[in-house]
Amino acid sequence: MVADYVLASTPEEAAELLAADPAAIVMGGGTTLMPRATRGQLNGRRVVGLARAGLSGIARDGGLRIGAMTPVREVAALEEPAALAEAARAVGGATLRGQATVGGNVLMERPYGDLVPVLLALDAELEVLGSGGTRRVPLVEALKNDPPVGAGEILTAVIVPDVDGAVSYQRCSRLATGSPSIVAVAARVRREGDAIAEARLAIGAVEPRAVRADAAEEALVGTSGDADAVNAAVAAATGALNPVDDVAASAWYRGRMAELFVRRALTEALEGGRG
Amino acid sequence: MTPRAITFELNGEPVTTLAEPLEPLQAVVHDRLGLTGTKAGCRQGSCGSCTVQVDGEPVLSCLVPIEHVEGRSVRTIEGLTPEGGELSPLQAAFHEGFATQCGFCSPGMITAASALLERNPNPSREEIIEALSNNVCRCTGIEPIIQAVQDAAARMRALEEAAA
Repeated sequence: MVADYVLASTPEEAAELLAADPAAIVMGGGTTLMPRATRGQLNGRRVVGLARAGLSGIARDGGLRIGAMTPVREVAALEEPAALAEAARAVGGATLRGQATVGGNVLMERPYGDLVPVLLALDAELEVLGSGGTRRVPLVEALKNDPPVGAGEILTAVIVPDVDGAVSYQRCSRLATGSPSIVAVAARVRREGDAIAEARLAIGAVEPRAVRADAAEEALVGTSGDADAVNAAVAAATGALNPVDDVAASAWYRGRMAELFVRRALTEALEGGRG
Repeated sequence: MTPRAITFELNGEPVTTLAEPLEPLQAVVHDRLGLTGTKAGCRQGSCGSCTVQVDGEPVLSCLVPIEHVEGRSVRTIEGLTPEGGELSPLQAAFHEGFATQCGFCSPGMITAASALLERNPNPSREEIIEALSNNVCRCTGIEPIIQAVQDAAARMRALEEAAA
């Protein structure tokens, strides 16, 4: 069994407890850690819980500030951003979404992390608390580190700015719900006149963590978004991917579906998205 | 680490029990308190057979650390069953509609469905499927289960109207 379970009453207390014990592990909603604890995989370790640290809730102030302990269910119920709510509805099932947290989903490797592609397309930032205080880091930068949040730090909130542009979210899975993503793609396109001024393309579930397809974004900017531009972007996005192989799909199938779903997402975003 | 005392409300009654750190609510209810309706199927949040209600919301109790229910209200299938051998409308609909088969998933199904009917007395088929999306029936008897929830909803609405 675990050494002990301490429910921190503030984020600061949680960060201090984690900094004081390098073997300590932080727990949000418990949906992935509880099975590990039950199987004895956390024996002897201190577990620091965030359930009473005051990190749950969504505030709207221009964009969104989503507390790390906010249940995924609350994001699934949002009207805007519609693509983020749609991605949230891909997480687990209805009951689990009341227990799984936004912070956990953002920090976990696949098959979790369904929120990440849309968050990347919306230029989301992470708010992280450590011994040096609170810092903000773009999600795309945080994902370059493993884990995205350092030892002795905790994720306190996900900041979703109010960005312009048409967004599309396309997900490939065996079943509509309760089935892990084989590929999940989010795209955002902002035009100035006829030309694409800004493009975002994020691909999840293909590699251990979601990636931004920089080369594809560059291939789109400045073009009209015609068929040649889309073909170039699809090739640029999928050529660099290194798909994983698992029970849900082979690497070969994932790669083919990535191509198809990137094309669908770009096409829908270029046609004006889903609002 | 020695077990510590946890106090919460279980089916309307206050209970205090010893529990180990991070002991799942399912294990406390089933093994320590003897309410065997809350089944351990997978112990990893995949099957829904351990579904209970905490403050009226369905949860997968194998994923809930006992510390999280301190001071809160837990309802299990036993607490959703009327006194004196009667069945609730939902239980009766399951029974009469042959929606139980082996019965292992039934407490979780009924607990999740009961939370749905509390907040939505007239759910669509899609809303029922959505509410039961974390509950697996390995007998593959899901169709009679969906039908039983629809039947129960109709019975409960008729009872409400008769009482009004």
